[in-house]
Amino acid sequence: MKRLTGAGPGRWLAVVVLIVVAGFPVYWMLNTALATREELFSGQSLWPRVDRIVSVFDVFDSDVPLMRWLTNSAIVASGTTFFSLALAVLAGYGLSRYRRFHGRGLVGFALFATQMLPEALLIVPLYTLFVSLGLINGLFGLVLADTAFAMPVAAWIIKSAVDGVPYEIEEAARVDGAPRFVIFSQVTLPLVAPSVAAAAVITFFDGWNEYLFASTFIRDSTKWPASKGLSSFIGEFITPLSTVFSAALVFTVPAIVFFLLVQRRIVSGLTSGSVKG
Amino acid sequence: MPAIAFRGIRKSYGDTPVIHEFSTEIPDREFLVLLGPSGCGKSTMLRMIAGLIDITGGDLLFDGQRVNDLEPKQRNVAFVFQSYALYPHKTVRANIAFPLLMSRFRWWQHIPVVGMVERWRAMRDPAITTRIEQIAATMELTPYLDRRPRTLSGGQRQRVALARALVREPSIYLLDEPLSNLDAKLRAQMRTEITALHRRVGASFVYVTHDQVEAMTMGTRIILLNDGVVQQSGTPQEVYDEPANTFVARFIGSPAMNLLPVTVRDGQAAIDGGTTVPAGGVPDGTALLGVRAEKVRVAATGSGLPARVAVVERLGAETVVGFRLGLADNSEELGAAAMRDLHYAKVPGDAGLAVDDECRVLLDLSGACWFDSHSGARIGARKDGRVA
Repeated sequence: MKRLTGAGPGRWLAVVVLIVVAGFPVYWMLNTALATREELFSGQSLWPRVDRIVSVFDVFDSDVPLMRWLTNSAIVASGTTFFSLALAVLAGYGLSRYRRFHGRGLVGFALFATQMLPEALLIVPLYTLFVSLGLINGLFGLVLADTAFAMPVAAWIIKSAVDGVPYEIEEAARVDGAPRFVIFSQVTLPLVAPSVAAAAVITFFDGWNEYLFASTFIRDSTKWPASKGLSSFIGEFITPLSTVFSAALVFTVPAIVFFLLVQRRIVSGLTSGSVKG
Repeated sequence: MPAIAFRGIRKSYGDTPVIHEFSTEIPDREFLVLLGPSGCGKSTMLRMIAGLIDITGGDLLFDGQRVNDLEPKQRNVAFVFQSYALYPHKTVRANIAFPLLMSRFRWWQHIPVVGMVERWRAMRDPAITTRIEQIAATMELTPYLDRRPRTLSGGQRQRVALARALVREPSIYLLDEPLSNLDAKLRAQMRTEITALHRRVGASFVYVTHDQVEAMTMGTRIILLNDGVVQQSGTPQEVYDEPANTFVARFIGSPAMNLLPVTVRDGQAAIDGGTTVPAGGVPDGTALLGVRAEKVRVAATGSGLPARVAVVERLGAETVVGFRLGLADNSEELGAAAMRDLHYAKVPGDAGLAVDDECRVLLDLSGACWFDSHSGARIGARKDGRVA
């Protein structure tokens, strides 16, 4: 079969279209964030005024607690990533390697089934549950709710990766005298690190983009994550577009930094992980 | 170094038997080869010895001690896998060191940072570094110690796998088709190296292969399996000279032993309905006469059974001639059908024959075997005889 490595005009066109579709909102956000209020109404330049980039940070001087909201988002995203990965690596490994426990298929399906239900469907029972557990109006409740939805995806990604690690490598470690947890932590886990990194990106963005649960469970505006905080800019009569887009730009920076930190790991792992033992 | 005893060992998955019950004893320091075609259960047997899979029934004993329920680590075995099973994310040095680090492992090393520091310290321990360097020098791996397995050739990876097995001086080495991924030249070289290694370390080796050349050249004892049933156990010469049945006769030796259908009456066996040879001790009826290819002589003219040449394989020092008894023309059939009724002679130098030539065949019956034509089992003892 011919490998799709060529760079024909059709492929180039497809790539350009994808870049435009994905990049236009980013461009629009940047351009609007760097425009003055007058320019927004009189017609702004097509080229973003990069010389005004420092003015974006003026948004921190406004009367909204943006820094607090960003910190809340970071706590929710980090917590979701931590709990999701901690559970997902164990679940993924167990589903892949322990093939003889009863209900294995059911567990796998149940994890998958969580993705079939929209979050909005579960919000009422979750609200009732969180009220009885005292988790309403707290960031930990958001972390738990997001973990419940992000963990199954991460578990399936990691399970698929563990499936790809030759079982003989683990058998070799057993013969070498390694305890079961050492085999998991020192042999298998490093080999699936690229998939763990990919799962980390997905779970982090699940937490970072958290909006629905925050709107429902958090009453205190100082405990909002940034996504919910940004939406509060939208007023009934007026929306300060430049400020909203400046805040949005600031909001995207930590997510981009996180992605850049782990993406190298994902790309390098695609080759090293595939090498047969 | 322990002797290995199999007492009524068997293995099954559910109701499906994989290894049928068998018993045998292997003295210590033997080079035992588990031989058989793909899927016969030899790797399963090796994994049972290693403790990687459960034994369904019977007892496995090392030096008289039952080891069925012991973990691989407690059995003090080393395992070399067909795919090498090196740790791809560790350097060659770390791969070789891993069994040594695990022998020092204590529960508190599960604590992440503590475990990491302890591993770092252990890798700088002179006892470990010296041992790694010794083994690396023995296996000619010193220049590659800081490289990762993916940067090594197949032969070098194989040596790393052997080094990892050697480093903690186990009592039994288990090798699962370790040469099957190598090219022919490297395989011959590694065959010699592993045999030398066996002599040097003085431990018991159990070696799985489907290659009867490896079994004959390396083993001091062979267990031959087919469909989970042990067909024969013995020294390579015993298995070659006195095959227990037609499966063993055909599996061992290249080319396979010739099995000629004969009709026996009153101690005389008629080959191809004509020439008779003495068949003392063989009951009347149909039987199979087994003659090795090197005991068959073919010539273009002279006395002997008439035959037609079907295959000529020139190997330089010798020639393998495939023929069919009788003077019927060769068929145009391909595949398995082309091999039917084909017998072989191995003659020194050039036989001076070509495909489709008529020839005469002489059988040297010294060392010939007789087999029951129904069960395939060998009849009686080896017969000495004269040239037919």
